[in-house]
Amino acid sequence: MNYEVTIGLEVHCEVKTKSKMFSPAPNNYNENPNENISEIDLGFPGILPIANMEAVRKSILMAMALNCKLPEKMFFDRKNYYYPDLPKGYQITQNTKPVGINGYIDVYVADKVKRINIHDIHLEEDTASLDHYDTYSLIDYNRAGVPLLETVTEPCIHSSEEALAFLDSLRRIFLYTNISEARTDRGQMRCDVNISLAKKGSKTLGTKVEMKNINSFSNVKDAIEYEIKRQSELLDSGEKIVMETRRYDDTTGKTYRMREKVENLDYKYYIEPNIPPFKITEKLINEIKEELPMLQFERINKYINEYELSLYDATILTKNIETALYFEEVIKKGVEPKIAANWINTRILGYINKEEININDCTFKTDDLVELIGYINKNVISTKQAKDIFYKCLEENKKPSIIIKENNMEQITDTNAILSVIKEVINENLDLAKSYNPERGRTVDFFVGQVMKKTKGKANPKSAMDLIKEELLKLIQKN
Amino acid sequence: MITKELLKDYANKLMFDMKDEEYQTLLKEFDVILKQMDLISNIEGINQVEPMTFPFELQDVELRKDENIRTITKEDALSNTDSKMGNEIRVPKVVE
Repeated sequence: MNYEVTIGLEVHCEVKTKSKMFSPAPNNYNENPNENISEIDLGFPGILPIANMEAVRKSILMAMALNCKLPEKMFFDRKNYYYPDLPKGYQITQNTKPVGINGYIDVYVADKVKRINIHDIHLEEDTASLDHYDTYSLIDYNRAGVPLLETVTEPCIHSSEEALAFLDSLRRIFLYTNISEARTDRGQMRCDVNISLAKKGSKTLGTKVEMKNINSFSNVKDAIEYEIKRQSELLDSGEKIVMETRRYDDTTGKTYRMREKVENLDYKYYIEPNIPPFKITEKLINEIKEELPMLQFERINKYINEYELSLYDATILTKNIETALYFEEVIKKGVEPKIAANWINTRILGYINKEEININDCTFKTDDLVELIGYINKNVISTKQAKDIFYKCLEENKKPSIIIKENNMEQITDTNAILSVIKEVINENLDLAKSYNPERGRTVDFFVGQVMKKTKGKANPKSAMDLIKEELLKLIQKN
Repeated sequence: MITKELLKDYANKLMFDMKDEEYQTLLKEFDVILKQMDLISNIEGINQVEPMTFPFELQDVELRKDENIRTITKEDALSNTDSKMGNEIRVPKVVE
């Protein structure tokens, strides 16, 4: 392709609070329309919106997570436009002083680090939701007034992979910090994509096309890829790109023109006079800073550098904070990081993903994993047995030690006990034993098999093999 | 410079139109407003003055605690409209 793609994203994410941004109506998902509303959400005359402290705190926390510069005071603005999803005729948002500006996050795109610059992040109220039918539209105001954080990137993204890596990282930050549940299936996280193509080496950006309200990450990827193809074909054939807003249809996988964007709409922004500015004090900043956990990107790097894990393992372990904390607790209790990572990434995550539960709800706690790995290290059980014990622990909700005892699973590590079984097996197969050739391993394998059979798999295989070799050698030397 | 064309363009963006004499009235009003603006702009040091958005510097603005959930009933909410369907408000179709 002869063109360089430039993408900027605007991501809306609903903030998790008990009440709405400016009203005391509940902020929770309700399938029954128009039940989560107050007169403030409906824009009745004489209303007085008062900002929700929790939403303000969470917006500051997110601004910190995105390394943004905070304003000294929290201001809100009115964005005026006329549409049925907005009963007041304006949306309370932040324009003059967003809660965060000039930030960045680093993300992994495949195995490379890419810095995504954040233009700003601002706190606002969500609009009502509209359902459109053939001749009419229906309005549900449940969503009107839900606190919403909009993150706006700089036009610094150059592929669908980078866009997706950013969206995934952003979503993980919302989850790590408990700012939002960030569920795309409930429309809690929605994305506008601005995309332009310019000739490679060109110093100016191409004409921008906007795609509004894309509701899943895979749709963002498909929409971007479709637009790259559509725009490059137009440019190849000498045509011009029109500045417009397009809609992505996931059933056809294509984008369709919604309206030509002649110039930016004049929203006649002005500072919301009903909400006095709120000072963001040093004390408040310090309090909120305490709540900021180590985020995924830093954790990945820590796991790679300190624990010598692969990027792949570190990424899986840090996908959610609960798993990361589980892993860290296990290694704090003395387990080798690589062994802990293997167990968690394969067995434990395999199980909780299948059961669709959170790692904190899994009955196999960190102590159980530490205990189980301890038994392997002490040769009490084999790795294979450990896997069986793990599943039995989950099935029967019992500790590893109980399962081992109840099923008589301890390995025989006592050399004398193993030796007496070996002698028995050799006597039973004396001719074969006498034909033992140390150059060929098959005889040893046969005897190991026999010993394991007699001990019901409990003999430590390594000790058994070493002892068999010794005994067979002694036998042929004697003859 | 405010012209009739400019006013017409703004009016169209706001989805209305006016009679010719109304445009003339508005143009005259704008003429006065702009002259007053010019007077203000010429005050020495005006560029250094922060725009006043609130008359008083409030020191202890309290935000609302995220509790005491309260709603109005669905019936109350819908009683203000004569166009509803189920529990939703019905309006003419707003997308093409």
